[in-house]
Amino acid sequence: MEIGYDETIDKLRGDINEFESVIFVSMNQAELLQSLKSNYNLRFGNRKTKIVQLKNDDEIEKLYLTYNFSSKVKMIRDSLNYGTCLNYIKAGVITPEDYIDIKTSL
Amino acid sequence: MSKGKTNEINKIIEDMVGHGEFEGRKVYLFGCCNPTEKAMQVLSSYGIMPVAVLDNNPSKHGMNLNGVPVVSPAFIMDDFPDSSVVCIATRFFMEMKEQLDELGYKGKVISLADEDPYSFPSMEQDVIERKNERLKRGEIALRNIDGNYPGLFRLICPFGSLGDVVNALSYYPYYAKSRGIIDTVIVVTSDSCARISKAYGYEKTVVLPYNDMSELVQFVIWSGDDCSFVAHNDKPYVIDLADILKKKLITHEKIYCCGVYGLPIDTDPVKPHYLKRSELCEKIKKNKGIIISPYANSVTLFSSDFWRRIVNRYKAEGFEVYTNVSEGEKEIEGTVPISPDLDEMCSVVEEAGTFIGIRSGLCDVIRMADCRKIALYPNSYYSRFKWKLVDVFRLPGWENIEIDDEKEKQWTII
Repeated sequence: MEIGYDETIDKLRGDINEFESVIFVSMNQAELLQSLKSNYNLRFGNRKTKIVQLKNDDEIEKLYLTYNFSSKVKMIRDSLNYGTCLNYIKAGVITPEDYIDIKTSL
Repeated sequence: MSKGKTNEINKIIEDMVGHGEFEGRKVYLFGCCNPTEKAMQVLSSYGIMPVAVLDNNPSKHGMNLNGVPVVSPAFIMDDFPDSSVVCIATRFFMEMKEQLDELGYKGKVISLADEDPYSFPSMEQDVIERKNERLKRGEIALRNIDGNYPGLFRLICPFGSLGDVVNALSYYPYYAKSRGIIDTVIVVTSDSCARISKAYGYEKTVVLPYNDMSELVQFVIWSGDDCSFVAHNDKPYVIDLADILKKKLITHEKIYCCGVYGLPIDTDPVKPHYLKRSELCEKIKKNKGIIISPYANSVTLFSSDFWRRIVNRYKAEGFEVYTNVSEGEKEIEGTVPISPDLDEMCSVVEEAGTFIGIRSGLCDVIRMADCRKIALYPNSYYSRFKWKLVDVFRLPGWENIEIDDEKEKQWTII
């Protein structure tokens, strides 16, 4: 039980240096991923942003869940252990588009 | 802001003053928010008046925080950047320091918050090692709770504010029902929070010190433990429910209802059914009493003159006025000090007929009391967002009133 994914950590360090934002999307949020990608230019303009779909048991996801390591990294995922902003969609408070605005705004 | 965090800021500033860190330097604060306000109060007790509060939110520029102007961070570069010190009381120390570095600021930058490794946004090896150690301790804390309450679901309330605990417990029964949870142990950070938990009918409660709680939360989130739920709304964890305020105004209570638990916005909060009647009720002037609550940990307090004016006004109308005080707090002149237990407070305000208090967690505790309830808010913004405190923390069925400088000098409640 330890954070020890050296390769993953190094790769993430590289991404954080290279990009203004790095957005990870879990596998079960395919619609949100599609929406992010289809409006990429409109949404991000010149902001250098990397969007990555997570794989099952992705080490980056585990790393993210350990602590907030950078404000540049956003994670679009649901959780059984705590409430996420996806709950607001479920509760009818915001639309999926609002959700993406919240997650991608600086 | 918890009392622990407040003490932490006090201690750090005391040490810095002792080491002469502020001598000959202009002092700035970064972040127009409650911890900054607290830091300003402590600095002013040492005769140190900050030049300005730096903030990234343009809607806050031009306003004053306790008489100190709020300006853009770039302002500091035009104003003796090398002979100044920037104090950061928020948990976004690293981001703010990075921003100052990018501006070319070469002066001192000091964190007034304990650098909790959980919230320390860094991927340096030593930070990762510290986090690993915390994970191990968090696992032990979880096993200890499970050992004492085997098989019970764990509702973890990591924030020490009474209001957060009330909100977490008010909507939890819906969540528990949806997941088929029969019995729950509540994990909180103080005896006061445990008392709230009991008022909601949860006899099994564990109190953990702040750091142990933080480690427990870290482990639960990391491990995906399916018998634990963290009822929290904001950082320092990966929980970001308050971010909705970037886009839309929603009250703090409804962040718990909709964000934490995913319930529809019109869900009614559950009432605490295990409240007690205070013996004090026999001494309170029935329906002709005013309970005032002038103290709070997390917001700027109003002046004694402001409260005295209210007291005098009501006494002239034949009311008896009582000040709710905790240890070390002094009653407002001309009032009777009272200190009912939290689970008795509802009975006291209902007996008196009117409650007037600065908006604090106590208001959440008595929010459903059957009497006239008035919550007073400082003229401040909530954290890093564009909304005022009165917008985010307003309570349904209450008179929610923002007190600006003018009102503080002249106003009395009718």
